[in-house]
Amino acid sequence: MLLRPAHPSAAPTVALQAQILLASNQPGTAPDPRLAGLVAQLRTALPYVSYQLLGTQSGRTALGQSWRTELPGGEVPRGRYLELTPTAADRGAIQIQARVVQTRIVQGRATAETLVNTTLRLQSGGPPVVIGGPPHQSGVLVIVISASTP
Amino acid sequence: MGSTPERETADDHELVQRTKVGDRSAFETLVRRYQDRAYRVAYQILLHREDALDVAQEAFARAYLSIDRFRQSAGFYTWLYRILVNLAIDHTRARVRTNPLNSDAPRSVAAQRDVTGDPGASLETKELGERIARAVASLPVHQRTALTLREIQGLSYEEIARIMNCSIGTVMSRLYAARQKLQQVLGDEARSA
Amino acid sequence: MTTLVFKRSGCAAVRARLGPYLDGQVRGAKRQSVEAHVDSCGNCSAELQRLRTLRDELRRGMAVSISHQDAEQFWEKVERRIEGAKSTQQGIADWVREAFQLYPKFVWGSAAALGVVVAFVAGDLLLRPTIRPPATLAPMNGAPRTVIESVEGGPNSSVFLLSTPDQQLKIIWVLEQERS
Repeated sequence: MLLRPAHPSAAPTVALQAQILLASNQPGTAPDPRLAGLVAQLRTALPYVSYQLLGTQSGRTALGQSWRTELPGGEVPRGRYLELTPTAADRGAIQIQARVVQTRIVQGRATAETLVNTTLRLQSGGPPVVIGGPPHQSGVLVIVISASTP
Repeated sequence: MGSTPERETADDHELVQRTKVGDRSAFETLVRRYQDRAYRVAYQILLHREDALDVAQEAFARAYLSIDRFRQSAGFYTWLYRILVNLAIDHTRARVRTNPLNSDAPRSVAAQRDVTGDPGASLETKELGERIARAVASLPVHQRTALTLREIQGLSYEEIARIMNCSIGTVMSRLYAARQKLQQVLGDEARSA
Repeated sequence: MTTLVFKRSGCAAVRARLGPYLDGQVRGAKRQSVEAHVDSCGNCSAELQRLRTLRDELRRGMAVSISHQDAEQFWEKVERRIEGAKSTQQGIADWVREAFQLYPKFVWGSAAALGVVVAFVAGDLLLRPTIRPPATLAPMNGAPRTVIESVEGGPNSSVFLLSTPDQQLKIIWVLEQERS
């Protein structure tokens, strides 16, 4: 059975959420209670001891439409963002194209560069996927992406 | 014997070249040369001593780790300030999310001011300083940043535009708006005193 | 030299130029024009004086300095950050290398069922080629899972794929490359 591709007349909407964390090894940072379960999982896979929630961004968009949220850091102010585009949805499975883009100054000109471009399949309300690695302050960003359909 | 800006720029170029080939002491010289200025810029944006130290040190560390990307077309300090201003502005956003009340302004700004001169003038200077500090702290961060780079660092509009990654027109607008706001605030305070 | 362009005329135009004039950004004929107007206009002359006073007050009022103690410790703390960042980068590289040695294949149930092939270059930890899914997608049966159907890095970044040991959390890790 195929996932139903995006069609303008169908227009189901997808709720998206991105939790933006700062992972680091800064000593003395108190654990953020909002992240207890998630941090325990991340610690089994990543070499960082401290995880700080910088923000949670939510949005709702139709299939085929993009949703963007700014990410902190990068060379250029407001030049880094996450873009999620749900492309298909069927019986609780949601296909999403995710991109992280940042603006760099190359030979004096601002140039947008893709850091990662990925196609994901999530279960509505199910486990998230994590994109991490872009440096920020004394650590790296860890972005936790989840989605659901009504 | 002090160093002129031209001499400093030439020195900076050589120090950067030496840093690129692994001479850490050359970078230490750059840090010591600019640490006070970097701290002042960071402080005026963040209005918090520890945050300003944190961000200023982080900016230098980032500059060191990405020194290979630095092109000598702009001065070292322009490049450093760009990293610094980005970090500081990011920090203000992160700080608002986690602790909206985290700011020293205005009391410790007054305490940190470099008050010199005769004792008779210092009380008046201190009061003025506190009024200025309150007024500057009330500015939006981008206006405060532009004002700091212009009034404290003496940078040109072109340099400020490069550091803040905006047009010269935007620099002018931010400075104009900042000065108007400060005149208004300081004028209101004087009238109510 | 950048030419500043102003579009209004009369006192309004001069007022708009007073800030840039004081900042030394107005030159040549425009500078002379501002000076000539200020010499003959009491209001604009007073406004210029107010801006001068504000500038002097700002320079006095914003003159914070780093303390002697903070200055003494500054370089040491910068160096510590540099060393910390370098050891974290090395730590990640070592850790990934170790993970690959322990888990030479990344087998994810759904991905394997889809027939997705993950290509490794020998000795290279970073996933370069783009993985594309086949034309038809099998339904997701059983417990809710996440599937990474395709992933690629950018012109200056590489990506590699990780998972928590219980396979519950899939992680796409981005490593920006140092540009020469």
